[in-house]
Amino acid sequence: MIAVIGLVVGVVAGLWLQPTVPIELQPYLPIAVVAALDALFGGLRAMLDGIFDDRVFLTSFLSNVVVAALIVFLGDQLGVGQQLSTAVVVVLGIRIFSNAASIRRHLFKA
Amino acid sequence: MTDEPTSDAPLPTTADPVNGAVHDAAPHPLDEPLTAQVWHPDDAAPAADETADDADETAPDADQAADDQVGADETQPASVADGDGAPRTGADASDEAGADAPGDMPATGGAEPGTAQQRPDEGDDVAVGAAWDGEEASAASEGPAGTSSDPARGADGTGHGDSDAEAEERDEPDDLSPVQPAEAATGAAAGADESGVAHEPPDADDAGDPDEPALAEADEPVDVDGPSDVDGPSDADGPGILDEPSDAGPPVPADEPVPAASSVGGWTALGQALRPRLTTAQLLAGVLCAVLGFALVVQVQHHGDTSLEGMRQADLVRMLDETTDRGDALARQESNLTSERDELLSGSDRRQAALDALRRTATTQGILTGRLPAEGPGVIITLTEPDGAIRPLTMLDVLEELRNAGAEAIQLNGHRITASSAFTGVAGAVVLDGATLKAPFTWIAIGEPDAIAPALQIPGGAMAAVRTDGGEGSIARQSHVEVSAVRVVPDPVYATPVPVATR
Repeated sequence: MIAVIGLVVGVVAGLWLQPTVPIELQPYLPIAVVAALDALFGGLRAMLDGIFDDRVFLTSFLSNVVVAALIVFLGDQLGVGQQLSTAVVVVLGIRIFSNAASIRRHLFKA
Repeated sequence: MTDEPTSDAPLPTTADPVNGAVHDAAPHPLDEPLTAQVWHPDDAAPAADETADDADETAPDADQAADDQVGADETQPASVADGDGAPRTGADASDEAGADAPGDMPATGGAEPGTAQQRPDEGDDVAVGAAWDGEEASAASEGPAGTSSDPARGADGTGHGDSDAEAEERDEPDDLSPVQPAEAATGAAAGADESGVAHEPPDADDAGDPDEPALAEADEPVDVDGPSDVDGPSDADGPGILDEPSDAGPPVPADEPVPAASSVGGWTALGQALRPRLTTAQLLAGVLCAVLGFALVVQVQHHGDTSLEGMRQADLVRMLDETTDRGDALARQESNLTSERDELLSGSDRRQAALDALRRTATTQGILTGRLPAEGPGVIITLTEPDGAIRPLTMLDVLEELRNAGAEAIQLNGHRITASSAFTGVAGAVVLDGATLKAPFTWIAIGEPDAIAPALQIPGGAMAAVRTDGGEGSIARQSHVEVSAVRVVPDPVYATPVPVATR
């Protein structure tokens, strides 16, 4: 419940403050958001599986964001930024779908 | 149902039993309520099994004996016995044993039976392997509440000799067994709490802890002990047991709800998870979710207004190429349009010039041919015939003299002189282009007046010829004369223009 409250608080803060994204971070912010979403879904699935560990959730959240941003940055340096960005988004999307399917099976038994 | 005794110290040490008997034998495993742990020593298990079996066998007999005794003791037992008999008839051995348990449920204290009754329900829910019929058990337990114990005991007492001894043993274990359920009930912080309430303590106790260990612990014992546990609590020793220390309380409740949650389904787990608890894990998750929500909103807002500053180099290069190509195409189009415009303008100018030239030519030709009236400086010559008639030949001389002097438009008595004009007739009746003229003759000629007048008056000129004919002439130089007479010349019939050689 506190997580949901935190999410709402973050959304409200973003709408209220309306900050401008620094130029350097602009290409990486969407990738980081998708990686964080993947970690969130993973945590939710772990909670329903009964194997939720807060430390694992924290590390997975941070590592997902950092690794995704690093991969995109590396791709930009190498010259394949667009392709690597697409690959990262595809993989994260697959993981999100897998976690969502597991959650669905837990909740709806189907 | 063979139990896997997970011995717990507290139970054997408790010297509480109402009977005061020492329970060296572990409480009947069947006596235990839904507690996950079987805290009885190993000895208790086989004895418990035997007693359970005996209880099953003697159940029908006990019922009948109970009826006999019930009539003597109480009126309720009869109904109780019936109630017990009814579910038992259709139940298996294990079911009967289970039915016995509720029948045997101690009628002591209100909370005790209540909790004891609840336990069968819990046991029904939790016990996976047992064929426990919860409905029967609950029905049996509800009916005979408080009174079943008497017939049961009576049954035990009147049953087989073995059953007596074993029943006593069962009683004793029953005494002990309710302890844990009682403790569990107390641990659940309420005497008559539902099974659902039992879930509370584990949550509170295990807040933040991983559910897995509790799950692992709870699954095995619960599955095995479920049915036996249900049988256990039915004991008249409830109240005494309730007083027992709740050593076994915390672990028991901790184990109970966990298996129930997993078995109930994801929604329960989700509901439990969503319950707000002030733990590090929850706070951490809240903080991370706040960051996620913040970044999500920022990104969504930012994506609406994309600028060149945040784009990648490859994208910028591509955009530059596209823009350059478009610029070149536009430049080419501009040059094409400019040349076309110039061409159009010049073409119209040429046309206009041609038109102007044609107009001028037409005007000139019209004046010269007599089609158009003209005006300008010239002379007016007046010829009279005072002494004779002027011959046509003389008129022709005058005309030739005028033309020789540069007259451009000549008019005689209102008749235009053209290139095809001719004087015919005789003196006195000069005919010009079919029209007879009479004196005085008025010549109007447009030209240089100073050139025409002297030309006419040269010795031996036209005027001399007129004087010779007996006429008189006067020449008046005018700065502006008007030749208004026109003569439309018919188109040539025989003559055709020579084709103009194209350059």
